[in-house]
Amino acid sequence: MKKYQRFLGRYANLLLLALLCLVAAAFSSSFFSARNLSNILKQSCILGVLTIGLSNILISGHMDLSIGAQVSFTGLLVIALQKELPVGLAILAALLAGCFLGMLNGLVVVLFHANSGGSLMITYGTGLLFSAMSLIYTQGFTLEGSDSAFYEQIGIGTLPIGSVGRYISYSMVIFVLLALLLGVLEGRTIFGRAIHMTGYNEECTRLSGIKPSRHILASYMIMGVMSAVAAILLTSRVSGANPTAGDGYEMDAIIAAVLGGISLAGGKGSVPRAVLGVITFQVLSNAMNLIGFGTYDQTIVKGVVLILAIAFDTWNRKQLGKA
Amino acid sequence: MNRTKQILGEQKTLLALLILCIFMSIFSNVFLTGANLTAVLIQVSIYGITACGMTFAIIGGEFDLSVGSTMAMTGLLSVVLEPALGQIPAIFAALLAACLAGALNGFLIARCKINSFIATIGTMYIIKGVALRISDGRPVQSACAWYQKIGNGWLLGIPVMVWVLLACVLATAYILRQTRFGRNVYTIGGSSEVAHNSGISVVKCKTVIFIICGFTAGIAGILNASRLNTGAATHGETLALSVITGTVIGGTSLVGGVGNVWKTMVGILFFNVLTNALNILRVYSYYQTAIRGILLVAIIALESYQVYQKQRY
Repeated sequence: MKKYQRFLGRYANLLLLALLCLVAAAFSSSFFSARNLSNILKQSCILGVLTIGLSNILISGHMDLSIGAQVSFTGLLVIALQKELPVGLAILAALLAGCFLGMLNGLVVVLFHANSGGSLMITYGTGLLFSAMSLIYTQGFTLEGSDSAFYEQIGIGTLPIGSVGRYISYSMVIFVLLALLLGVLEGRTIFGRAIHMTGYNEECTRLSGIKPSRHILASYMIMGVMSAVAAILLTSRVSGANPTAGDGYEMDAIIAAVLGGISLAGGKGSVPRAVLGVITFQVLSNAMNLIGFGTYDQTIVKGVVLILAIAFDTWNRKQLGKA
Repeated sequence: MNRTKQILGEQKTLLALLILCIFMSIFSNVFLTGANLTAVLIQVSIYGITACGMTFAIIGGEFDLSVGSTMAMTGLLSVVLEPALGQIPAIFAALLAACLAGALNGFLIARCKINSFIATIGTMYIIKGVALRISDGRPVQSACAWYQKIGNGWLLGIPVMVWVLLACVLATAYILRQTRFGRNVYTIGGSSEVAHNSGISVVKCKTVIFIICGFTAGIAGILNASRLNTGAATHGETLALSVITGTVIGGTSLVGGVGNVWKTMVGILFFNVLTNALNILRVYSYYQTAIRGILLVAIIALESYQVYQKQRY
């Protein structure tokens, strides 16, 4: 019995994804077509990059509500800088700026020893600041897209290999590479161990000679870089930068992380789970579109699925604790 | 000396509020007028009433992000149901719906033990979806002639909304200080384990907390809809985080077990007076957002550091 439940606990999120796929396939024959599946993955990239970045912070028991504002700001920056600099340098500058925004978050959280509730409010505040910076910079207007053909290809281009290539976009490649990189960082390095320990019990981590602050700061900086990457993918796809373009990404990323089975209490989760969660999130909205749900019903279903997923997770863990 | 320091440390938001008020009274001849202060108080009302419920939740160590949706839904229902039921039953039905929304939160968080942050994001979507569904996404104007008088009316020289706020604050203060339930809320916020072991029914208490939260959001929703004479599913989108911000800035700790409704009101007042002051000084709205962000970060950072120091020694 316990074995069966442990299995459920480990693979529940995967089962949820499988269930959603089955429901979608039952209602629509076009769900399992190569084009639709490729579209789902293409649409997962931007949110995916953000969610794998956020997963480190969540694992360490903290929170980042400024993600959306980071995306907006770095997006504006990368478009605006292309007028002055070569594309490559503009991208590099945006990545650095993202890293700096993340560092700002991390420094405030670490220096003032904020707990999880504190980091929630602090990043809400820095989010306000970042989005104000974006709005002040453009006075609320949208910046036109880039002139560079190379830059446009990042977001919409597909691999030039035979007939399969068109199903794989460059943004997918970037997402997969980053997921691998962060996956190794989270699962195979001292940094990964440290953030897991920090999320599980910060005091014990400190007492065992690991400096939690250093690792928390690093995870916020990684988040900033990921925001910049997402901003590059976004601005290149929609070919323009809007000072409110990133709004709402923070909630979506949190929901995706939860759907993948990352605990907001810290100490539990992984990068592969974040990827799983993002794909679940996209399959859910794709399935609802295919079945023909209206926007309003989609909002309701999203809430219900989120609650069911976390309710099941909570229930299962309680059962395991009892047994 | 230490005593002074302690008071300064505990009441820094009140101090900031006073300094802000004195500064504005000196440098602006508009600030200290009846019309302006009334305008501030009316703005405070909606946030303040919701914050009463939020104070219970935060002292109990939980959160409610769904109050914005609940507020929108309640306002909408009180307008939409009016032709079928008549205005007064419609208001009661809407408030009942708000309590039900709170009860749903309570069920998920207290009974199913779901993390309140995620649970209330979920219900936020559900309630908002329901509201969008009811109104088909469009704002609905009230058909009742006297409905708008609730939100815009005056009683004994004071706006009705401010009376309602006063009633909510007094009721919250009474319940938190003088009743067994109030004390239980503090105990649960301190440690729900301890509360459970000392015989408090944590599940029941937390459910009531969230029903109160829904109820106050409902009252705010009706006042808001009546002030605008319109109900819309899109009202209150930033309400939850603004109210939580005000509550926390006032000194009600997110860890739980600490705080009271007066501190909450100081926090909410501070934010609204600040907005008013910046408007009078003609600060551009984008800069206002930036200032609010910086202040929030500064206050929470200081608060966090104090908590950390207390834990150390």
